[in-house]
Amino acid sequence: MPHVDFPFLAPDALLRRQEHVNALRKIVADGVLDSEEALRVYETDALTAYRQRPLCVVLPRHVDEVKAVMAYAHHHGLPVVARGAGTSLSGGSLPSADSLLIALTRMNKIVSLNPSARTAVVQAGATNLSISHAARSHGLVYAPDPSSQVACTLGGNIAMNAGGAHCFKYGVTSNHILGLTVVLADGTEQTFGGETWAQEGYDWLGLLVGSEGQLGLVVEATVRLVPQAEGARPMLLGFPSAATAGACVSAIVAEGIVPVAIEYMDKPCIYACEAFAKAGYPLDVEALLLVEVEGSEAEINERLAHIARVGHAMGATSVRISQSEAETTAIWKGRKSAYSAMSALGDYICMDGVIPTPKLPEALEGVSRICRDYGLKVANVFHAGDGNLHPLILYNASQEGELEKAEAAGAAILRLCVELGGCLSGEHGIGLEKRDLMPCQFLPHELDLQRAIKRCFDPAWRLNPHKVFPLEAVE
Amino acid sequence: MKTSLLSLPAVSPEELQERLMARIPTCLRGTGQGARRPSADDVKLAGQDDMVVFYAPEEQVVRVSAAMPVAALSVLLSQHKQHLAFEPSALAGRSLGLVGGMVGMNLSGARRLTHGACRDHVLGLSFLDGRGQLHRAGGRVMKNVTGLDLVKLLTGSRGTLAALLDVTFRTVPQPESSVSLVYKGMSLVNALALMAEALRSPFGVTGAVCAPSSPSCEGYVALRLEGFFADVHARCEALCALLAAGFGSEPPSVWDAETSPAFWQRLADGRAFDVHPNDLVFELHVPVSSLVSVCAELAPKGWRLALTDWGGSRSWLVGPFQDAEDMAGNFRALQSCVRRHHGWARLLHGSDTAIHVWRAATMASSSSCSVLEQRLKRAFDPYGLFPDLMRWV
Repeated sequence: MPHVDFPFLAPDALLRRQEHVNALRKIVADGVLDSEEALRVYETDALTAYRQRPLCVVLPRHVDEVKAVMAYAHHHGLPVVARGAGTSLSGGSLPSADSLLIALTRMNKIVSLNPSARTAVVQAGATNLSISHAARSHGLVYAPDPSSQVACTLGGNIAMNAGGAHCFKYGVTSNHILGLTVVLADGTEQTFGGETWAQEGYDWLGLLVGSEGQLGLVVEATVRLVPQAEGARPMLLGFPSAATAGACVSAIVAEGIVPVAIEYMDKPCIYACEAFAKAGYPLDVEALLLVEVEGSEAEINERLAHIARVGHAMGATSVRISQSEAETTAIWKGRKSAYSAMSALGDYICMDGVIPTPKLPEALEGVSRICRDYGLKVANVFHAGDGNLHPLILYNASQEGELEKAEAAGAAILRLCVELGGCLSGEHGIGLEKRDLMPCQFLPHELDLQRAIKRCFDPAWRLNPHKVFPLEAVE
Repeated sequence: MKTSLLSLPAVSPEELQERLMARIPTCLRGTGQGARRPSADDVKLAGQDDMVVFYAPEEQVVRVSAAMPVAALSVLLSQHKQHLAFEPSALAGRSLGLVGGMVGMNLSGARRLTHGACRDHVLGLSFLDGRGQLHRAGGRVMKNVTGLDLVKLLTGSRGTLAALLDVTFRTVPQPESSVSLVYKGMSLVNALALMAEALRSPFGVTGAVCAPSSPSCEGYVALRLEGFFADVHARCEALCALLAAGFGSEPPSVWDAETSPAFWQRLADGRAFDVHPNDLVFELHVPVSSLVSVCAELAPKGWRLALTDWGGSRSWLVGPFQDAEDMAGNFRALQSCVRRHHGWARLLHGSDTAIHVWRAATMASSSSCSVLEQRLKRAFDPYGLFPDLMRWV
């Protein structure tokens, strides 16, 4: 287990731990955890290679409790880390030993849903999928659909500007937030936006979404809902190579088709997902595209036929259109359970770089070459339509040095993404994982400006302080 | 308040950078159509021979100079059957200006409701901060969560934080077809309900606008449907049936693929209603559920609802007030009414007196974000070279 070196911001925090726990229990009566056993759940998120228990965990039920806890932390100079369901793949909610970890899972209600306005007010601890469940009876859905949507929370989605398979057509979290209620570093409550579709003043919503807990704690959001499509259907296209599959993605986009999703899987992933979901994935191809279109029956048929023609022209060796609801469910179950299915092959780290779609063949070749050079196996499953790669770098966790090798390979892949005109992260966020790669993408004065903006909200640098920005830059 | 573009000094990006490094106050203007009065600090970005840095239709991305006219960009994209999904739109009574002005003001048209605003389609920006340092925010990819999102922050910041040099947009295919349903003779209450029902349907409604009846104009509700060519008429019929079931209104007129685009283009061109030189025009944003109450409160004072777009979420009010005292009282009443309904308003068109009086009314009601605004301003522009905070229009 690699050690995480978080500089102490509150050096006497551990000495005063019991005093802090007692005081916090007066604020959140039955919502403060401090036993070793209870804290173990919170010592890691989905970046499981790194573990650190926080000072204590607070589980507020109400915004007033969040404000009081934040005010307490402000008064005592304690770092604060927020957590939703702990599904962050970049270590976004990994705490330091001196930090309060505020878990918002008890604030999980759909406060209100307005079908006429196509909006919902939702607490930060509500799961992503619960919003669509609540909206479905009104013919509406909440569009951003990360793979972990059954568990991940809206607050976490907002922190990381989560995407998902269907964001190629519908956009990411930032495109669906109309209002936020945020508790700032000093414990004050601030509302940005609300029920209007344009905001007065600066785009605070745009700044806050994707800010990874650096600027404040989101406790509630007004989200926009979209009409459920008349229908949707996926198809599978199998290719003899990664390059031809990657080139086909560009070809589909170049035809002016806007599928609702274009997903890519390579052979190791296809095998793992088929074993898990029994979706009928072809096992004799090197790469698979899962393309889904939405609309009326006529439109779906036309678009799928068009995509099939493109696929054949680009060298697809198998083309299969879903023929039933059950088949559609199975096809998506395979894709959405890819990460779990891949676990059967061993330990892996999941990277999250983005490249311009025409660079897909080159990027995939680069990923293979880098992993080969490090003596590691890799599987790829990702959102090809928007160029968001997710190489799964397999390693043997029980062998010393393997994790470090995998991380080095991952860093090399992300640097390649930047060199190809992309960026370090498409939806997982920088967190801890990619913090030290930020200088690959930003010049020193560009990072300086971002840090200055953070200080506008968090002058004492206490909110999720060890993430996003390289440590040596923190004063 | 218009500034002649020809009279402004033109600066290249390099000259602009030198100017800022020399700490010379700078207001980068587009075509000068905002309500802000001109000043000695105004400059414009010099056009280049080639305003297009790159355009990759197969990748759905274009990067252009902020000095490029929006109309020219639209023509370029249409040659590849693409467009900007947020529907670049002029302010009421104005005309489409430059890319930098459009992004600086986050100008977005009817399709904002379904396809997002300008800020949702900007992928990257090059800009100069108030120290004259060149930054690149975002990039050329749709998904980007690397660091803080300065692209969204700067879109709509009206030149108060940074000077935009070039913009990268996501481009998408133009819809194959467009038809519109037009209902006449509906009350505002029913019109809002009709638009809400249409926007909730799965039939590809991408525009919902209502003009109340007036002595000069028969009121109407226009609903635009866009999408797959073979479907659009069937969806039209399905939507009519849905709305008839709920509202029992007179059957609507149907504007076909020839007529429909022309109407929505007039809206995008800022010509959906007439704006006379002496008119006071405000843009109003309130929750749709509050619009009827807001209009009922303001109408006795002389305000007139000219048009409401975005299903009722964005509206234009026209006021007849001419003298300063009359304006002061009515502007305060407008501000108070709008704030009570959790909305906001901005002056789009008016005399120098109107600008002065509105400024005073706006400063009197300070924003709860004013401390953050001031800190943010200092972070970008420590020497105060760019125009002051946004509400000083």
